[in-house]
Amino acid sequence: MPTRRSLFLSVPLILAGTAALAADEASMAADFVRQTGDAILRIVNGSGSMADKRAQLTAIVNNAVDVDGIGRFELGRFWPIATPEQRQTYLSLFRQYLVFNVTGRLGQYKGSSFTIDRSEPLNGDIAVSTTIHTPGQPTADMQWIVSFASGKPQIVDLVAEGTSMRVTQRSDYASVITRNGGENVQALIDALRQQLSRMQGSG
Amino acid sequence: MRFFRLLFALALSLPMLAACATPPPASQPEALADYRETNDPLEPTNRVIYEVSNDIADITLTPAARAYRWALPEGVRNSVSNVLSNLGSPVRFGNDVLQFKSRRAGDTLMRFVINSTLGLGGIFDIASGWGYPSHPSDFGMTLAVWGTPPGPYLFLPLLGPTDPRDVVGFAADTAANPVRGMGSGPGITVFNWLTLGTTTISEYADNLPAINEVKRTALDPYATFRSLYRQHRAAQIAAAKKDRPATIPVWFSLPTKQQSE
Repeated sequence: MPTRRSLFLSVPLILAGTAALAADEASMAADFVRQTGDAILRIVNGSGSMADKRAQLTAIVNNAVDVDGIGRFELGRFWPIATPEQRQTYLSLFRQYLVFNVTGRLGQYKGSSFTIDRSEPLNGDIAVSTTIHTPGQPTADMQWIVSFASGKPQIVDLVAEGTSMRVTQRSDYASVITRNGGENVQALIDALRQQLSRMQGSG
Repeated sequence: MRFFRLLFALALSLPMLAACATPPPASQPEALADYRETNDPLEPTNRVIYEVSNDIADITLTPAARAYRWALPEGVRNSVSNVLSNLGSPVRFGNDVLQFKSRRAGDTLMRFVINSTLGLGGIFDIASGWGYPSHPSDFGMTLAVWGTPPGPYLFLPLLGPTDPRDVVGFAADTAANPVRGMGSGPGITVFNWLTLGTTTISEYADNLPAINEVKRTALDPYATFRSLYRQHRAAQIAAAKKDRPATIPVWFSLPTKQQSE
């Protein structure tokens, strides 16, 4: 019975294969985080005008971060009830917010360096643990959650001290929506727009 | 103790005094699931206490913490928080034991011995560099390890974000502090108030940048703090539960590994 035997043989082979794939993804994710982190720090510590640096960082965010995926996750159970126009407006505002939030922290990481401690599978994604050293500040532990769902490695979340950025923001958004008239995404869109103009005004 | 009894009575009576949030109707199962997961039935009351606490902190704790950060360089602030953390070691050790975490209990004991002596009363955290890392441990975590659920979210005056499990834990830890067993007298009273005051300002000052960041970037800071608190506690408890004494401790240096390749 060659079929049965090959079946028996193939099970451990497939298992070994998936384990090897996970190990492969773990090291790929670690490389990806190292490259992305190095690229960010090169920009932060490099010469050039603030506007230049912002433009370069924006390109990195758009490329290395699954911004739409995070935005969709954060809208959570309200994504299906949003109209196509609302989804589009929301995702565009969310991208602006995320980019502004990342580039607004430029100065904070001047002179920083980081080390990669571990890289391991976590709920279908890869969690890459890093320690960030910034002069004059306590060291910070940060986990980068890297997903391969789109075919290439992309950052889908940041976890610091056990708190996930996207989970925290999802409950922030859910609260805005439920507290302003129940089940309408428009309240969130208005709040995001207001906040964005406030941030751009003060930054 | 009268103060904590009062706090405790307040926590227990809150559900009766408080305005309750209305749960969504059963016709909206997802909204209902969301409501249960958030587990904040006292939200209207909690929000009022949150707002008032913030207003009070703005004119008391925040300026104090700012002044503290301005007056002392980071190294000194770290030493202050090291000393305070060292004073909390006996309670932490007791909780490690109650959680049946022998490794963690050993870490806490060694930290206390090393840092109290060579670390000059805890000013320098020498033990961390020697392979005895610090970890949080309190009676709220002990209750969690024993299987007690957190209960509904609470925002209390002075305590901030918490839940019934952590309120009980805080009261138990405070009552169990060995300094209380040293008898009473003006010296002990001054020492207790001094440590309480310094702990409050030191901890608030350490967290001030993060607190300001949330207030600046969140659309609803109340909901954001609630989520952060829950996740942070869950992670601390998960780390305590996961700690396996059968693995090799960090300080135990292995003989050079045999290369198998």
